[in-house]
Amino acid sequence: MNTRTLGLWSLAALGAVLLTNDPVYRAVILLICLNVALEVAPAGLRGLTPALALTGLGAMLMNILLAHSGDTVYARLPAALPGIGGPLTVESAAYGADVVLGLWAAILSVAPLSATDPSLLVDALPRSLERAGSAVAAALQFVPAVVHNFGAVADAQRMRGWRPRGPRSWAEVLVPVMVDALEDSIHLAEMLEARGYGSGPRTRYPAAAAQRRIGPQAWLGLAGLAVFFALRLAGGMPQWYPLPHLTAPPLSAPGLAACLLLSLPAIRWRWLNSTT
Amino acid sequence: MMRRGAAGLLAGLLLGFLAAVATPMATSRTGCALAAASSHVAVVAEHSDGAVVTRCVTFSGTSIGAAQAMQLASQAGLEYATVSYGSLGQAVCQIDHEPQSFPPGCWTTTSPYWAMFVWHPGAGWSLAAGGLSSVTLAAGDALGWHYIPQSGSGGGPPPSPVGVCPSASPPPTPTAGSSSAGAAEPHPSTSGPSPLSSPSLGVATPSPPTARPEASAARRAAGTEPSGWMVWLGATVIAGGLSGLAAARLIGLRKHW
Repeated sequence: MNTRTLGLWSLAALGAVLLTNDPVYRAVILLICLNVALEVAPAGLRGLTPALALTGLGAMLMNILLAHSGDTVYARLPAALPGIGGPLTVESAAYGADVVLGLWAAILSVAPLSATDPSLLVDALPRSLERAGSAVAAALQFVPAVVHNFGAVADAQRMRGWRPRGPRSWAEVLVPVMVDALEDSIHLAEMLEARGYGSGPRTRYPAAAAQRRIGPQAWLGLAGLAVFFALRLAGGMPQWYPLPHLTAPPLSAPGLAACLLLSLPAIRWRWLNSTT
Repeated sequence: MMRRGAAGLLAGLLLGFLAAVATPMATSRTGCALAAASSHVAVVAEHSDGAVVTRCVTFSGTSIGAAQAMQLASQAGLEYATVSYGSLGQAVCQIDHEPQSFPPGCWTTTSPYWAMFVWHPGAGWSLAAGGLSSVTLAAGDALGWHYIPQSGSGGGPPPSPVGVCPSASPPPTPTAGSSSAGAAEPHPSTSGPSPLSSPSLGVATPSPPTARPEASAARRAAGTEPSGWMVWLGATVIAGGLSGLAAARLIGLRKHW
């Protein structure tokens, strides 16, 4: 699956997650995105796991402690506690779980893109967005460079006897970091100019043209997103809320079929890898 | 084990005794309250499809809080659900099972909502100046609800409450303070205001069959109707298959890590 196909498929999966709050659809999409992420970017997923756990826990706690609606009360916090005081209900916990499913599915839908080379991502953009993509890619590269410079400058200053003694002392580190950042941006501008950036349309090797072809996984994913959109417009995919009491989420065959369309990259890929 | 069983039996007997003693007291207290109750407030709720539900709330005193009026109306079968907004009070999210479910914040940025109106004799409907927890109704007033979209047309008040409550009632006994426990009498709901026979205080008029109960039941049934078992089976199979694939991938990756 080339970068362009992966990008379009990620967009379709993200759109599907945002269009529904049904926990069953969200769980299915989450499993699909997990499979694709495990296939494309397993190392990145390892680093993402603590962040996923933290966001999930935070979202769950927020809903449990701040939303006091629902018929089924399982505990009570003293009403004197500001904000969190009151009954804790099963319905609020269920809504929190639904929010967590949506968060995780959304994050995992774009996680595979994080493992992709930024230059390939810029290559995958349509011609009209190439300049904007280059600017964004350059800006995203700037952040880790500044972090690296900060560490290097702080180490160098420490070896010269510098010690942090309050906010003013940090100027001895921050000023060199800013100077380095400005130098890096000047170097980047020189490199872009040397490569004729902005002089005409972006050229590429013929081999890269094959990377721009949109694969069937993206088309099927976009078809799935279109089905989701049509169902929402036609009222065939009502929003699910666990209030005032917990009810089973509404499921429909077209909705499941749309999820299946999104799942083909997760299934077919594995089959392709096992047969080649 | 025997000790636990004996304790449970004793607790059950005690509860039964208390219930048996409490019931006649409650009945007599209610009867006394109804006899003294002489003021009325009508509750009118109009659904998004135009169907109207009405209740007449009876209480003693000269005024009643909107929240208490709704509580009395719920005792006469008008279901409603609220969400607390802390110091701002309660917000009404559902009346007569519409909508079938609602988010923890009661509504979203695009969903319809229950607009609250207050009727004063001679002045007609007006938008309520406060919420359920802050509005007070005088005898003869009416509390109105209309499920309307957040934008666009169709946001007017519900139908007139004239005829929901008995028009001729003995003057209320002047009492200081707010109302005491009252009662709500269910009125047959109609699609528009029409004069109805006034039940005497303390007696609930049996409602003639109307389309309303079926519509309400349909609304309740629609909210609880499960999706087909085939669809659920399909979802389970898909989720199970994807989970198995993910597990297989994880096991394969663990060997490399």
